[in-house]
Amino acid sequence: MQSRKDMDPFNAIILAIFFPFVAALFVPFIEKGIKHRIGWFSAAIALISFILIGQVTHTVAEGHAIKQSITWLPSAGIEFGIYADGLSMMIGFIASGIGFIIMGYSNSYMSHKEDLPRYYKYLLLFMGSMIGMVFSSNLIQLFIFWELTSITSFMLIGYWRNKPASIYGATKSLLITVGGGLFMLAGFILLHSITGTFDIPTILQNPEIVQNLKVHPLFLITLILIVIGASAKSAQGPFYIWLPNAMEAPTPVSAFLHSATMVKAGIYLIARMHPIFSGTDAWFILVGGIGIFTMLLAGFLAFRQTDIKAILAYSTISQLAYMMTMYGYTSYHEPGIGVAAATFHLLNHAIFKACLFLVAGIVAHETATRDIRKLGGLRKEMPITFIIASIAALAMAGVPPLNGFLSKEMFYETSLEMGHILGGPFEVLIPAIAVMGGVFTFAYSIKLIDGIFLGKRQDHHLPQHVHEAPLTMLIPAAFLAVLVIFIGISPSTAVYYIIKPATAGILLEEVHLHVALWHGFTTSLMMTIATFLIGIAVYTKYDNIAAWQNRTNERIPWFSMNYVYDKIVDGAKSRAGDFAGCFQPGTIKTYINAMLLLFVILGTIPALMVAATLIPDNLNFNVPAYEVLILGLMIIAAIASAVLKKYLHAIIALSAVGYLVSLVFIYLKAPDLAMTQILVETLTTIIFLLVIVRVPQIFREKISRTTMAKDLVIASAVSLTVLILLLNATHEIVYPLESLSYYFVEKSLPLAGGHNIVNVIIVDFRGYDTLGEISVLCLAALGTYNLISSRGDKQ
Amino acid sequence: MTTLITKTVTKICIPLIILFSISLLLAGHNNPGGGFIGGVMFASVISLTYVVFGLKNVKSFFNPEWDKWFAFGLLLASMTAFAAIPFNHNFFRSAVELVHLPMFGEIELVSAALFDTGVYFVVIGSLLYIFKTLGEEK
Amino acid sequence: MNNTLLSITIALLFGIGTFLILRKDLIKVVIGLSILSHAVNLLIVSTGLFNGEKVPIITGEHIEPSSGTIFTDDLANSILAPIVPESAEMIYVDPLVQALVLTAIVISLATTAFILILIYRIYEEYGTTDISKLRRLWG
Repeated sequence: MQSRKDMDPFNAIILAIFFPFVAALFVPFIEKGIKHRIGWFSAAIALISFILIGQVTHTVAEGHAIKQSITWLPSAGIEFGIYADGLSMMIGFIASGIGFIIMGYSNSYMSHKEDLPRYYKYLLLFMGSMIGMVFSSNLIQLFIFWELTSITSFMLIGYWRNKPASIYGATKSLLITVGGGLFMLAGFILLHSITGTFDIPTILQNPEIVQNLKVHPLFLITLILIVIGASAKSAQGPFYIWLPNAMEAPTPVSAFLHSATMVKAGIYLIARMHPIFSGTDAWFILVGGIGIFTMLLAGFLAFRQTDIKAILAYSTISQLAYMMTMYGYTSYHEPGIGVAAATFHLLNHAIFKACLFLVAGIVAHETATRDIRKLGGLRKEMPITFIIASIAALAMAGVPPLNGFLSKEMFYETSLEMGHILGGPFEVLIPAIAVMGGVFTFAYSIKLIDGIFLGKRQDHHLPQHVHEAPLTMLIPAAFLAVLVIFIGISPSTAVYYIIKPATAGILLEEVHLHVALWHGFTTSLMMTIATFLIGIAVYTKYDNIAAWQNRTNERIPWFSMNYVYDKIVDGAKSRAGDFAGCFQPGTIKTYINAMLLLFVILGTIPALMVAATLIPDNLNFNVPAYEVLILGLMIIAAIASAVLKKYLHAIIALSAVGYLVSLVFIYLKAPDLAMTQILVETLTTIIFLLVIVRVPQIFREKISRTTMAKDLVIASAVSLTVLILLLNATHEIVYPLESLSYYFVEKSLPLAGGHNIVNVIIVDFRGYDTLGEISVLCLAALGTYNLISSRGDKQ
Repeated sequence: MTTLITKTVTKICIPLIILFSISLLLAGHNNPGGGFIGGVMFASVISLTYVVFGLKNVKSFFNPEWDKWFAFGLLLASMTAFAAIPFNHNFFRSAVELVHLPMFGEIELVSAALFDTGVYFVVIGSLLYIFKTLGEEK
Repeated sequence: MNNTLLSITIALLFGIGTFLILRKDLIKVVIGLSILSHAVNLLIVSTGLFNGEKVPIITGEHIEPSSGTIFTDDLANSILAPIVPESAEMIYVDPLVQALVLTAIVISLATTAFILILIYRIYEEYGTTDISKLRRLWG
C-alpha cells in the first residue's frame, strides 16, 4: 500500500515532540530577523509536527500501537517512552492541527506592537508539551508534560501582565490545574506501588495486573486521586471555576488551549485510564457522576453570562462533561458505542469550539467588544463570519447534518443503554438528564447566533461601520467550518482513520464502527427532536432564567465555588503573613539565638544518650609546658579581642589568636595547615586594617545588665556543649576504627603517586570538592568587586 | 611601615619569596606545600609590596589584572577535570607518569599537579583582586 | 587519647565567638566569626590526632619506576566506598581532616574579606555599623 518510505515511527514522534521545544528556544532570535512574520514561522513548525504525526497514521490505523522507550532514570523505573495508539494520535493531530490554524490566525489577531516572541514561544512550548503528554508511555513522563502544559497555560493566560484580571485568571488556573496535577501524581505513585510499574502499556497489556488492581484495598483512593487530577485539568466538577477566568487570555489562546487541547488533557487521562479502572461501580459513580453534575451545572450557568467568551467557556465545560459522562457510562457494558461516542465528540468539539472561539475573536477584533448585550445585527456587515458562526453553533446544538449531531446522537444512545442497564427509575431518568443537557446546549448555541448576528444593534457606541475581518482570520475559521460539515456529511474517513483507532486504543480490541447520518427513526432521533422542541421553548425564556440566576447569586453569594476559592486563597495569604510575622521577626539576634539553642539541644541529647556520663572520667591533663603556654595565651588573646574597645587593638588580639592557632597546628602534626594559617592570618589582618580605617575607629555598645547576662548564659551553654561533645568524641580513640582516612593513606602513593597525603586528597581524591571551593574564592572576589562598583549605579 | 630598612629588605625578599612560593607549589605533591599554600604565599608577598611601597607606586610598574589570573586558574582546574573524558575515563580521573629526563633523573608527572596549579592561580588571583579593589578605594 | 586542655580551649573559643556574634557592632560580629572559624578548624583537626603517629607525609616508599601509568581502571571501578581492611593500622594522623581544614582556612579568608567589604559598604550607605539601627535588615 505504502508507496513512499515512511519515517521510523518512533523518531517521527520524538521529533514531533521536541521540534516545537527547540523552535521555541530560537523564536526570540528569529524574531529579530523576520519581525512580526514570526507567527508564520511558528505555524510552519506546527505544520511540521502535524506532518510528522501523520507519518505514523498508517501503522496505527492498521491496529499496531507503537511502543518504544529509551532509558532515562532506570533506578526509579522511569523511562522516556513513546506509546502511540489511536487515542494519542487523535489528540496529537488536534494539538498540532489546531495549533497550526491558531498560529496562522494569530498573525492578524495579535497587534504587531505586542510582545510577539513571548506569545509564540509559549504557544510552541505548549504544543510540544501537549504532544509529549499524549504520546508518553510512562506515567511520570506524562506527569511532567502535563504540568508543563499547565505552566505554559499560566503564562499565556497571564499574557497581558498589566491586567489584574488576567493575573487573577492565570493564578487561579495554575493553582487549580497544578494542584490537581499533584493529586494525580499521588495517584500515579499509588498505582506504581500496586502494580509495580510506571509503564502504561505494561499495565494495559497485562490483564492480571488490572485484575489485581481492582481488588486491591487502595484501588478506590488511587482512582479518586487520578480523577481529581483529570477533573481539575478539564474543569470538571467543582474545579470548573478556573476556565471562565482563563478567558482573559488572548482569544486564539482560548481557542487553542482552553477549548481544543489543554482542557482535553483530563479527558485524555480518563480515556487512557478507562481500561484500567472501568468495570467498577466506583468508576461509574465518580466519572459519570462528575460528568452529569458538571454537564447540567455548566449548561445552566451559561445563561447568565454576557461575555461571548464566557458563554463559550461554560459551554466548553458542559461539552467536556458530556465526554466524562460517556466514559463513566461505559463502565459496565461491553465495547459499547459510548467510548466511540465520547471519542468522536472529543474530535468534533475540538473543531467546532475552536471555530466558535475564532469567530468570537473576529467579532471582538472588529467591534472592540465581547458583550453580547451590546452586540447584534452583525449579519449584514459580516456575512461570512455569520455563516461560519452559524455552522459551528448549530453543530454544537446538535443540528443535522453537522458533526455535532452525530456524536450527540451517539450520546443519547449511550444514555439509553445505560438507563436500560440500571433499570428501574433510571431507565427514564438517565435519558432525561441527557436531553436536559442537550436542551441547555441548544439554548446557548442559539443565543450566540441570535445575540451577535441577528436582531438589531443594541448599543450605539459601537463603530457604525463594521467590516468583515481580514482573510487571514476568516480562512482558519472557514476551514474549521468546512470540516464541521465534511465530518457531518461523510463521517467514514474520520471514523476510519481517527475514531476507530482511538476507540480501539481505549478498549484494547478491534472495534467495528458504523457511523452514518441517517439511522432510521430510532429512539435517539426522537430524543433529538424533543431536545430541539424543548430547547426552543427554553430559549424564549432565556432572559428570564438569566435574570433569576443573577438575583439568586446576589441573594446568596456564598453559594458558589468562586466564593470558596477566593476565601481559601485570601485566607492562605493572610495566614502565611501571620506565620511569617511570627517566625521571622526580623531581628538577627532572634535567629542566632534560635539556632544556638537548637545546637545546644541537639548536641547534648546524643551525648546524654550514648555516654552515661557527660564528662568522661579519664581526663588527660598530661601535656607539655609549652602547650599550656600556647593555649593560655590563645585564650587571653581571644578574650582581649572580645573586650577591647578600640578596633585596632581587638584586631591585633585576633591576629594573635590566629598565629597561636598555627602553632597548635604544628603541635597537631599538620605542617601544611600551620603554614597556611600563618600566611592567611597575615592577609586577614591586612584586610581588617584596610576596612577599619574607613569606619569609625570605636563603637561603644551599651550592653544592659540583662542582655549581658543572657548572652553570657547562651555563650557558656554553647561552650559547654562543645566541650561535652569534644570530650566524648575524642574519648579513648586509639585507632580510627571505621575511617575513610585509612583508604586515603593506603592509596595515596599507588593511585595518585603523591607522598603528601593531605595534598593528594585536596587535588586528587577530593578534587571535585576543591573545584567547588576555588569557585567560592572566585565568587568572593567577584562579589567584592560588585559590592564596590554597585555604588556607581546610584549616581 | 615605609622605613628605608623595610623597603630594602622587601626588595631583597620579594624574588626569594616568589621562588619559595613556586617551589611550594611544585613540591606540594610529596612534601608540605601545594596550590593553596603557594598561592597564599604569593598573595602575601604581593600584598607586602602593596603595604610597603603603596598601591599606587606598585601599580605604576607592576599591575597585572588579577581577575584574569583567577579566571585562568578556574579554567585550568576544570579543564584538568574534564581532560580525562576524551580518554574515555571518568570526570576527574588523574594520571601519573614517570618520565626519565637526562639531567634531572626520574621525574614524576602528575596530572593533579596541573589542577594544583589552577588552584594556585585562583588563590592568588582572587585574594589579590580583593586587596586591589579595596586598596583602590579612596 | 584525648587532650583535655585543648578541648577546653576550643570550647572557650566557641564561647567567646558566640558572645561576639550576639553583639550589635558588625565589626565585633566579624571578629566573633573569625574566632569561631579558628575554633572549628582546631576542633576538626584535633579529632584526627591519634596517639603516637606521624605527620601524614609518606617517607621511605617510592613508586615503582617501571609501572608507567599507575592508575588502572579495575581498581577504581570495584570500589564503591573506601573500605577499611580488618587489620588496618594507622601510622599517620588523619590526613582527611587536615585536607578539609586547609581549604576551609583559605575560604574563610575570602569570605571574611567579603563580609568586611560588605560592612564597609553598609557603613557607606547607612552611616552606621550598628545592627539595631539598620532598619533595612529587619525585613
